[in-house]
Amino acid sequence: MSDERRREPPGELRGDAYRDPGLVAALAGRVRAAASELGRPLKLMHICGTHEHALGRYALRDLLPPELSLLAGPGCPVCVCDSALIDAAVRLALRPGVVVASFGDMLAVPGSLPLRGEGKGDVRMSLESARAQGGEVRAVTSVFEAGRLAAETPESEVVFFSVGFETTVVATAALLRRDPPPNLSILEANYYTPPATAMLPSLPGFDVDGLLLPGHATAVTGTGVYDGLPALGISCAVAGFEPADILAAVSAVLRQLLEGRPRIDNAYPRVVSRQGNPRALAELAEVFEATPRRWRGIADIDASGFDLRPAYRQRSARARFPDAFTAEGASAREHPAGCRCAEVTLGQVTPDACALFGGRCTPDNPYGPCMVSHEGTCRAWQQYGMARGRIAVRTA
Amino acid sequence: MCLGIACEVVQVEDRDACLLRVGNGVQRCFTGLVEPLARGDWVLMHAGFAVQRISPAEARANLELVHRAALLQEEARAPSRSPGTPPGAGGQDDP
Repeated sequence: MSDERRREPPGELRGDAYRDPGLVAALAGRVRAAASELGRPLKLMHICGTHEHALGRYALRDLLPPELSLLAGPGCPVCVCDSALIDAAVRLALRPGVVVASFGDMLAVPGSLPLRGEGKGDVRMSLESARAQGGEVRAVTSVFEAGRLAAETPESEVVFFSVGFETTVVATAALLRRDPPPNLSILEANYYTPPATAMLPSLPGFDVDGLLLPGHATAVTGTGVYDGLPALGISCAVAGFEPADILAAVSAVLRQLLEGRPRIDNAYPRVVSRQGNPRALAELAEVFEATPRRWRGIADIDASGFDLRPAYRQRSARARFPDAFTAEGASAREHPAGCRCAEVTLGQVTPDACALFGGRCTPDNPYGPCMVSHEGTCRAWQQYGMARGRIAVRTA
Repeated sequence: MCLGIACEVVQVEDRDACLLRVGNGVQRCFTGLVEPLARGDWVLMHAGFAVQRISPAEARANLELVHRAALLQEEARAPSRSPGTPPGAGGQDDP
């Protein structure tokens, strides 16, 4: 212990400072001690797909005591994207003169339109299958790249399929305020996490003791948007994405449970503040307004999405191509038959409870959205072999 | 989609754009949503834009808090913390 105290924190701006084995082991020890003192089964939930991947990549669940479950919640925007919006993107991609640009994760997500001639099963159209049928689809890494694409192809209408949480919508707002090419429009599919998080405790059987809040989304919004959660008796901590960040946040939540005083601890203060990013929030409020949005397979949640305000509505793909936004041909089922992504997204089951997981549904041949996206829980479980269960690890 | 990486500014192009060091390469990044930057500053980049400037002092304080959180086993048992004592994992942010 004295050696640890003498050691200077190395390279505070480097991620590996938060992967230090001694530090991680010490934090894991603290988590085990707090869980032991609480002396009952504990359930925590994170609401960020990047957290799930960090848990898998660093095998962090193996460091937690068996009485502590850390579940994955609705933290993947691609996974919750309304299938009707994917269908609209597919129709637009198949329209001559239109190019649909989106993040690579979005391209293989099936919507609800059936894919003709695909043999047995409930196989549906994605943007990739639209491309296979001659549609113009481009993977981009940012809305700014979509703007450059529009500038380079003035003869085309470029539609940016703007899927994402509050982290990505602020970038879209920023670009629209800076006069992008006139042939760029936005398919509004941005989701807002706090209303969905606030809805979780109202779900039947919800018995989660505490939440890990998403570090980078909260960097934009600030922690204040989650103020209602402690009042509902939920202990919260904002978590970063390195092993020590996550274990420190888990430790903070357990500490609140020990004290019997729910609050919001900020375990990622190098990036997250109470006020968030005021400049980004101001530009967001100028360009977008809150709207009810469908979370795929879950619910219509009030004020959980963003639509363009009237002053920017000429940039909306829905305004430019209204006939692409129709329910015609869509399946009555939001997810493909047998897919349990909705339950996985809410943390009600783990991916290995789905009969399709790892067999019919794999990252190479995904069937449901949670296996497509790099943020998806099923993808993380398959990629990191988390269905193997917990392996007891001795750290001391 | 919430993946973000801490990057160093290697060149300021204009008020809205900087070149950042990403791994062994350099990438152009939209920086119009954070305060004006200078070469050597650090930002958190996500999907082509800078979400926040990261102050080295804040990063150092964060790491020190995590180290203390890992070491002060006894503090976890205390019913409340004394003034000036950092919380288990970072700054308390009561509503």
